[in-house]
Amino acid sequence: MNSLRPPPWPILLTALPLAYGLTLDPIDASLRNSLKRPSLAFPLGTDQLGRDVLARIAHGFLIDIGLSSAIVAMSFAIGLAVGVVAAEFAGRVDRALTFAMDVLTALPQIIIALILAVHLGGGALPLILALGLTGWVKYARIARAAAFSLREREFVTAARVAGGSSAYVLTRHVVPQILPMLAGLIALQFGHTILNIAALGFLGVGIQPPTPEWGAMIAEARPYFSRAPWLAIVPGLSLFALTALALAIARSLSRRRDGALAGLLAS
Amino acid sequence: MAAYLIRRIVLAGATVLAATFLTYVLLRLVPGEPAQVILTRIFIQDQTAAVSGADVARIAERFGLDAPILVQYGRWLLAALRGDLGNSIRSGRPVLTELGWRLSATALLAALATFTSLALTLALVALKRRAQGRKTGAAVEAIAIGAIALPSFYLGVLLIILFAVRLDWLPVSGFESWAHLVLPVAVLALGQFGFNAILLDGALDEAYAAPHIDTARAKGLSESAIFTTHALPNALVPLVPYLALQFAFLIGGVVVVERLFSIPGLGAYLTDALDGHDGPAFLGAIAVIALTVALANLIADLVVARIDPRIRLARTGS
Repeated sequence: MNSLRPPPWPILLTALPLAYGLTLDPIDASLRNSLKRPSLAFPLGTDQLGRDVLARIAHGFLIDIGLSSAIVAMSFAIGLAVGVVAAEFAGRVDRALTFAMDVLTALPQIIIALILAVHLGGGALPLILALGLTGWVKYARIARAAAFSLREREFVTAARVAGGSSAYVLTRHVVPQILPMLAGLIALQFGHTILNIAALGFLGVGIQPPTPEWGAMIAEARPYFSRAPWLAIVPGLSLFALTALALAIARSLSRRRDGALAGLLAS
Repeated sequence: MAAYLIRRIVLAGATVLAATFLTYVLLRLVPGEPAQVILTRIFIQDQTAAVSGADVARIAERFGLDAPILVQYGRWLLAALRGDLGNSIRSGRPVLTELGWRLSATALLAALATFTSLALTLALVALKRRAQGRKTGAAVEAIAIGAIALPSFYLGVLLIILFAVRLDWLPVSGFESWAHLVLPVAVLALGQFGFNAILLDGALDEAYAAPHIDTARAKGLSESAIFTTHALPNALVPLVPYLALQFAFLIGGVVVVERLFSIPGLGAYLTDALDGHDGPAFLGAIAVIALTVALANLIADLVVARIDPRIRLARTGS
C-alpha cells in the first residue's frame, strides 16, 4: 500500500486553505469587491460579483466530490448487476444486455447525459441520474467477463451442486470475487465523472449558478479572460489536480492486478 | 468469415436503430406537449404566451405529432432511409443539407486531431523505449496521466488566454482559416493522446515479453529495428478497436470544443438544436453520429479480423 500513501506536506498544503475556504460564504456577493486580483484578503481573488474565489473553490470541491461519489456508486451498482446477470443467465439475456451496452457505447456518454440533463432540468439529482444511468457500461463489461470465467470455477460449481440458488451463488460467491477487480475502475471513473460533471457545468446544464461548481465557474469566467484570467485558471487547476489524483490512485490499484490501467481505459 | 461479417453488419445497423429510437423517445419526454413547445418557442417566441387548443392541434397535425410514438418513429425512419431527415424547425431548411457541411468541418477536426495524437503517442513511447530508464518511464506515464486529467474545455480556455488573448498569435474563435484550427486540434489531440499513450505503452510491454523479441535480440538486431519491425506492429493490434471506441469519445469532446471555439460543426449543431428545441435537427445529428461510430466499430472489427486470424477464429467459434 506504500504507493498509495502520498507525502504529508501536499495534503496539508491543500487541506488547510480548503478548510479555511469552507468557513467563508461562497455566494455572498459584494460588487464593491468585484474582480479583485489575488491578495491577502482574497488569496485567490474575487469574481465578477465580488464573491471570494477561495470560498467557491472549497465549496465546489465538496460538491464535485459528493456528486461524483453518488454517480460512481449508481453506475457501479447498475454495471455490476447487469454484468453478473448477463453472465449468470447467458444466452438470450446475455445477448440482449450486451446489445444494450453496444448501443450505449455507440453514443458518446456526454451526449446522452446532455439530453437527459436538459430534460430532467438543472440541479444535483438530474445530474446524478444523467451521468449515473449512462456510465455503467464499463463496469458491466468487466463484471460480465469476470463472472463468465468464474462460472467454470470449482467453488462456484460446488455452491450450485450444494443447492444454492442463483441469487445466493451470485451474491455470496461471484460478486465478492469481482469487487476487487473493479477497484481500479472505480477510481478511474471517479476522475472521469469529475470531468464530466464539469463539462456539463461548462455547457450550462447540470449544476446551476450560484452554486459553485468548478466547470460552471470556468464557463462564467469566459467574458473576463483578459481582465481576470485567475477566474478560469484556478478552478481548472483544481479540477486537473483532483482528476490526476484519482487517475494516479487508479493506476496504483490496477498495477497490482492483471488488468493494468491500459486494460481499464480500453474496456 | 461471411457469417461473421453479416452478423457485425446487422449488429451495427441495429445499434443505429436503437440509438435513434432511444433519442426519439427521450426527445418526446420534453416537459409539456411537443406541439405546444413548438408553437410557443418557435412561432410566437414567448414561452408564456397563451395559445388556443385549436392552434396546438393544428401544429400537432402539421408536424405529425398526433400519431402514436412508434408510428412517428417509423415515419421518420422510412424518410431517413430515403435520405430525408426532415426540416429544421428553426431554419426550415432540410436537416441533411445543414448537416452536410457541418459534418465536413467536424470530420476535418477529428481527422487532424487523431493524426496529431497518434504522432505524439508514437514519439512519446519511442522516447520511453529508447531511454529505458526508470525515471523516463515514470515521467512518460505522468505526462500521459496528466493529459487525461486535463479537461478539454479547460485546456482550451488556457490556450485561448495564452495564445489568443495575451500573445495575440492565433484567433480566438471561428472557422475561417488554418490558424483557426490550431487551438481546437491541439485541445482534441491532447485529450486523446493520454489514452493512446497508456494503451500503446501497455501493449508494447506485452509485445516485448514475447519470445520472438529474445530471438531478434539474440541474432543481433538493433533495438530500434526490434521496435519498428517486431514490437510495434504487434502492439498496434489492440489499438485499432480502441481507436474506433475512442471515436465516440472524440465526438463527445468535439461538442465541448466546438462550443468553446465557436466552430460550426456537428457538435455545435447538436447543442444548438438542443437549446433551440429543434427535434428534427437534433435527431438528424444523433443519427449521423451513431452511424459514424457504428461504421468505425465495424471497420475496426474487420481490420482486426484481417490482421489477426486468432481473433477471427475465436469470434466465429464462440
